[in-house]
Amino acid sequence: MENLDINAAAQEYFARIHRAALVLSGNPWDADDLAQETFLILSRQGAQFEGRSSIYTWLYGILLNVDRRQRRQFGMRRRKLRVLWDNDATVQTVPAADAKTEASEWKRSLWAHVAQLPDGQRQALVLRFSENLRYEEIAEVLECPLGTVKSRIFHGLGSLRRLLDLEGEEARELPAFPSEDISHAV
Amino acid sequence: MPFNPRIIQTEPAPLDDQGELQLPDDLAALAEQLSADSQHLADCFPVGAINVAFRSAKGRAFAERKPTTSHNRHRSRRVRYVLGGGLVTVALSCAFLLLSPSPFAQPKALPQAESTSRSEDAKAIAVRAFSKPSQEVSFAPALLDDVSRPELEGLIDLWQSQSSEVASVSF
Repeated sequence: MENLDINAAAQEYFARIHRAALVLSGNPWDADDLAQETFLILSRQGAQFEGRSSIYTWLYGILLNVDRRQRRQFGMRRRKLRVLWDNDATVQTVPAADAKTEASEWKRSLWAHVAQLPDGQRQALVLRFSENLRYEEIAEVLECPLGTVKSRIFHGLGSLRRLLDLEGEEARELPAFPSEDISHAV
Repeated sequence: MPFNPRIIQTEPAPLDDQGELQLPDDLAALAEQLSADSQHLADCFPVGAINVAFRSAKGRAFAERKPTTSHNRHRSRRVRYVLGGGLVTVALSCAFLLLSPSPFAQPKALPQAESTSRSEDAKAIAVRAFSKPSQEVSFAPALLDDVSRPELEGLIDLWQSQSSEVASVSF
């Protein structure tokens, strides 16, 4: 087993993992959490790294698993919150001023739409067009055949195209509700 | 039927002679836009100076941990125990001396009338305390206004981690 220098790995790869976490999660707070969680897991499981793959593909695999787990947990929390908020219709949550700026950057990017895609397509697109991994490396991270990677990328882009077209059509057809607070949708 | 991206599509991906993915022009443009957006987001939210020191499960940093032999660890533990025991003994002694009456002072015998009036006062105080109408407690729910998403998730984690065991105090 190869002895990993965890701190050296963090210095070298933290920025890349943080960027991938940013496009996966959509906001810098969750990106920080995801990236740090990834390297925490690396620090605990570094002894298990056998050197069969490159360290960064291993890191991406950890990151995607952490993201998947947090999405599941967030889905459960959102369901619990819905029970709380539904009982009090007067509760309003107003995002902080800096959160609006960050949210607007995210909403302007295409990655906000990629977040609506299925996990397989979303992860393939992140690894290919955000992290510039080769198809073989993506197949290694996602633990799927090479053909599946190419298929996910192709269909992911096609679905993204379709979502953008639909959004354009809906924006043209639906009027804005005057009572709705759309100040956050900059 | 509205478009659902989660429906599995069976159309095969177009490949060239070398087996490489051949994207149509509009999808290739989308791919370039995705790369550009990714770089833009990374520029907007940089990582900053990376000052990472991973800590072990016991909270000590890998870089900061000093090499100690097991003998030194045992010795320091013994010293801590002895010091702690000594402090407890001193504290108990002080408390005993302060609370116990002086062995040289004679107890003052209270006159009979004064002692009964004292017990009557105490009884009156107790009766007043129990007959005082209880104050109304407001049960207005706390509204979680201006709570950001990270704070909200922290609150939920706190609720989930709260133990259902009753707190106990030992003397």
